[in-house]
Amino acid sequence: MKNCILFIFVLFIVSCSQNSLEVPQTSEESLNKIDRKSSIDKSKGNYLEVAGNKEFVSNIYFEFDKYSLDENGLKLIKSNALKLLKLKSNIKIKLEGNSDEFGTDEYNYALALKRAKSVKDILVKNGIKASSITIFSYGEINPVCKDKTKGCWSKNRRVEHKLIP
Amino acid sequence: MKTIFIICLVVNLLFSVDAKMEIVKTKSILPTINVLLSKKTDNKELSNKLIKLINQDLKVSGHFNVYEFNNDNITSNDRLIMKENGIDLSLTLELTQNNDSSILLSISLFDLNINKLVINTNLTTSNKNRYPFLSHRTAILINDHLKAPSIKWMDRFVIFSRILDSKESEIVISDYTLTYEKVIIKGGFNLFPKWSDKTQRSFYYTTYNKNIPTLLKYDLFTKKIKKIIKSDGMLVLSDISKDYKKLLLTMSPKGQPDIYLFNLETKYKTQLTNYDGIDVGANFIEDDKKIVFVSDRLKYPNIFVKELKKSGAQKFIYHGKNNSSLTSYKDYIVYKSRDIKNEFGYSSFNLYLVSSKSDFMMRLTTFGVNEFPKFSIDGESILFIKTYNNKSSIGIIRINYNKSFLFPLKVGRIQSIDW
Repeated sequence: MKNCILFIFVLFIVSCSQNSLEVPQTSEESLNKIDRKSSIDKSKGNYLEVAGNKEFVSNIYFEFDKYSLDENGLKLIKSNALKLLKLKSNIKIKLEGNSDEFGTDEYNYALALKRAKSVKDILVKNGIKASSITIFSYGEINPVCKDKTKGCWSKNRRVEHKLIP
Repeated sequence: MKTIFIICLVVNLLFSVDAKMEIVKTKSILPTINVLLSKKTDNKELSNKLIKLINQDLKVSGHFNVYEFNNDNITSNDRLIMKENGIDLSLTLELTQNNDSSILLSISLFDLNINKLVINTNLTTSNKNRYPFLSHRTAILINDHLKAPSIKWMDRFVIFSRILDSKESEIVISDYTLTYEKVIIKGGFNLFPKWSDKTQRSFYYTTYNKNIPTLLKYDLFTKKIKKIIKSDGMLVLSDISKDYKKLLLTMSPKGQPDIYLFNLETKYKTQLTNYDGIDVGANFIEDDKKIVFVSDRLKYPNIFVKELKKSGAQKFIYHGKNNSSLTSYKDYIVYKSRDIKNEFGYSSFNLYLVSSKSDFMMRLTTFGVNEFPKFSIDGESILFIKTYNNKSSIGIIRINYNKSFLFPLKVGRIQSIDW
């Protein structure tokens, strides 16, 4: 009985000391730890329920009047694909294409659809089944911001990911 | 010999003088008209709105000079003053408002040149909110009396979809100045309305209320809705054939936006374009044997032409680096073109009129963002939306009169419009 209590006490001391080892001694150390993990900008994606966990799936952004992907876009889609591969087979992914306000609405609908298709093609290359993805276009009528600035327009040129049970 | 030469020279000079006189004779003169209110009129506020609209309609027609007196004391009895001011026609209005919201408009047109009352009639409406149509019908009446070219298009409806908020829009019918408005479809995501034929009894539109874009037909009188066709991705109706039996659609059944011809009788659809990029906005031209459409096959939006029964498309517009937003009437096309390099800041998008049968080209606007051009049913006018300094207006261009008019846009952002 005494040995048992002693054993538990030693375990407790060891675990505390391990925890105390993880506490930074200086602000510099704290900031180094914080900066190592980048913060998530919730406006740049959606949290989706994947295999019981909330996974952040990034939006994909596009240049003006373009539906081709840049290096950053390709990297983000690859990262998204790794998370989405854990989805159950009965769950479908809906890719919603969006555009800024320039151009005619019909052209912007097609442009937004092409953006969604570009993202779909890369997701499929990274292992997601084509039959589990549907694409959809909102054109210019689903903006995330309405200011007349370059920053705002670039935020609207995006593809978002949603899940359909 | 000398005498014959002199006689020939004199005769030649005489013919030259006649040719110059012919050119001067072709200039036309418009009748001058003024519009006055009877002292016995009801509802002065509504009456003044009517006068303002009638003055506008008469100016837009291009067939009248409108004289507006600054003095409210001028009455229809002051014919001498009117004659001194060069007025040919004097229109007097008297509004009678009934308890049930209906109104009666008495119209008296006096021809000062022949000193005779030439029109004395009444127009009615069961709802006073429809007063803009009373104005348009008055202008048409006077225009027809003078046997001027028809302006019956003024009494037709415009239909448009208006964005209320993200993913929410409504479909509205209005008069051509957008003064009168009636919401027809509200709630959800309903876009791209288009009149199904010249009677304007029904219209097509795309609904996104379910996950699959679907084309519906709505009957304004019976309120019945009929499903026409659906497509994954996107579905937009851009033009209807002259016999109203075939539709030009932008569809993407395989996630790729292309142009399709849909036969309403056989329900058969034919894919007209097969290109890996963007093909949208097709319109019939040249007796429905060809189409013009917008495509990015040169890496920027431009206008292309294609025969219905042949494969392959040719570039149609060789000017500008961003051309889109088509409307067509017979062999004429109006499109929107970006005139300034910088796509941000003070962008300038102007409308151009071209012919498919010649090199004819005419710029119709000069500043601001001008878009959504639509030909009137007779092809003589173009309706469009102008945005300048963050303010939007609806515009009417009278092509044969080289004039354009703007009316302020009240509420909301227009997504799509048809006339």
